[in-house]
Amino acid sequence: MTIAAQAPAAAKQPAQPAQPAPLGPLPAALWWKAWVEARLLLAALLVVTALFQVLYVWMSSQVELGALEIFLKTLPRSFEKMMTVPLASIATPTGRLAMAYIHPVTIFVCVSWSIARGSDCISGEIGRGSMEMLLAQPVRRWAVVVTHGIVTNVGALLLALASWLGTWFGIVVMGYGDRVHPVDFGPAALNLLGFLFFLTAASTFASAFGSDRRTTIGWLCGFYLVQLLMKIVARAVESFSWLQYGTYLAAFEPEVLSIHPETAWQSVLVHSSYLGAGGLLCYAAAVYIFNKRDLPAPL
Amino acid sequence: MPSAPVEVRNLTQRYGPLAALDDCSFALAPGEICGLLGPNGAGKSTLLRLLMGYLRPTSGQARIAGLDCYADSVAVHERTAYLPGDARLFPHFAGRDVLRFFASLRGPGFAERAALLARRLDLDLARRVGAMSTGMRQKLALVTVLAVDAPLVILDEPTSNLDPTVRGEVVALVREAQQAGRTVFFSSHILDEVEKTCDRVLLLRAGKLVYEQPMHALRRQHRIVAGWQGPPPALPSELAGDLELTMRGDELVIISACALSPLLTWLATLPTTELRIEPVGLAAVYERFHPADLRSAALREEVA
Repeated sequence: MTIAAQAPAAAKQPAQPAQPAPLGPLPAALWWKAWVEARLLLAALLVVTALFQVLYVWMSSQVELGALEIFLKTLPRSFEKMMTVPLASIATPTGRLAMAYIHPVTIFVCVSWSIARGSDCISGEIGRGSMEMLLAQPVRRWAVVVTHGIVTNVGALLLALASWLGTWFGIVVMGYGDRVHPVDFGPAALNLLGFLFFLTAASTFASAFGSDRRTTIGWLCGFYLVQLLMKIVARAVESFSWLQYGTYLAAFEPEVLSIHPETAWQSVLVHSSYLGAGGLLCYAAAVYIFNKRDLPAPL
Repeated sequence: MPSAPVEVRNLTQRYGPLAALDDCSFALAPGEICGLLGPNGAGKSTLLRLLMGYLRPTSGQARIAGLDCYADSVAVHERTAYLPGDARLFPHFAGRDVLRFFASLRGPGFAERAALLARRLDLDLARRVGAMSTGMRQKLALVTVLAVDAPLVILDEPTSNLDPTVRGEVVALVREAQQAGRTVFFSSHILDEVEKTCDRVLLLRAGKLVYEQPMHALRRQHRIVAGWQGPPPALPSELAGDLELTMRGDELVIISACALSPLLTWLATLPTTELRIEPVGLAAVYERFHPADLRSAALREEVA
């Protein structure tokens, strides 16, 4: 059935098309929105990260190296196989402090930030129902992903920096400076940033498919656990060592970087290039999928 | 010749075997208010979402001001103010932050218009969106849409969740938008509101556009109900083309779109009793096209 338009008799002259708002490709409003939504979580995680690092240095300074060495010797050999560094190196001041960068608290903070922010970018906004209102404005879909991604990764940079500064501050305050040098942990912090960047990008990629943030978070937690298991199995069972090529966690070894300061900066560049390239690929895929997909009605 | 504000040609949206919208074609004239009617699942929101470029049509074309709604969606959004059916805003923002956000995207003049509208709708802008009632959120969303200086306004059930007073205010705002020269296209379940506001209505049923009615023509239509015994009378040839005659029990029901006097003259010659004349109204039209086919409507909604 075709229905022709007929102007109503009472209508006045139509309005001239509104002048397009003077928007750049990345409008300030999107930056501001991404910042407002991220700031509380970021502030909380920055405080936790910095305090944890200081606390970790303090705790490490309280343990006698000799006693730790004896304890480590009691551990079974199979345990050492799963470690990325020799157990003896953990008994050194640098080795002990380096473990803070793979400590469950640090990992929890990083994974929380990356998954929370990455999953929020597309599936979170769609699930909340606010994506419809956002995309009814003259903004490009890729701009939504890019502004969100940049703000999230600036947050990641601050988290990595907070870790390093926390270590630095702890070393200075605890008088540990004669045994370790804070600069030795720079590559570890940079590797942490690479880890955060990749996981944030992977979360955004997963978010581009979904319409419900909780589902996205579920998938991402599963992905992370599988990656972690792959790394552990690759190290523990020699015949499965090839699994290390399938996990991005193979490029996240801040403790190894810290105990080998002589090669740390070169190694971290290699790790960062892997994580960076993988992350950029994930972001490109996320933008592509989001541009092509239909926007479902809110549930 | 300027392009029509909205032009839809053979637009179809399928989800597997189900056609949420089926071969729909129409155009809106500049400055008109057009109502979109249909039960839940008829395809109203799908049509509006296709116009906003949120969905890639299975086939057919939708254009706003000559621009392809899907391919040129950003340019379309510059010329369109859209209120979704279930409008939700950013829960972390206070009302005034929401307006500041949209003002930054919509350019000069938005903030002033939004402030006036917020006052008119009695909106508390200090409250966080997450702490607002459903009605408050709807009012805030309406402010963000009606404050946009765009030639086309698309509203998906704008008065749902609103109390009667605010509903009246929204209807007035829609009329004011028209007086400012804007074209308004809105869906609603409230027939009375559509009848009072619109210049034209489109009726969807199971994804198909089944009826179009300019309101001035509808306002001319009358229903004459007369008591009648026996088989329906034969219509005189001079009236036959303009009347629709049916029997309802002992009543003769005539729907007329023509002048009443020749019809009444004819009726005066018949042995009728209890003659009643009433305007037809949208309710009668709606009932004609939408018998209670709720099961299929619910199924369609679920799939969509």
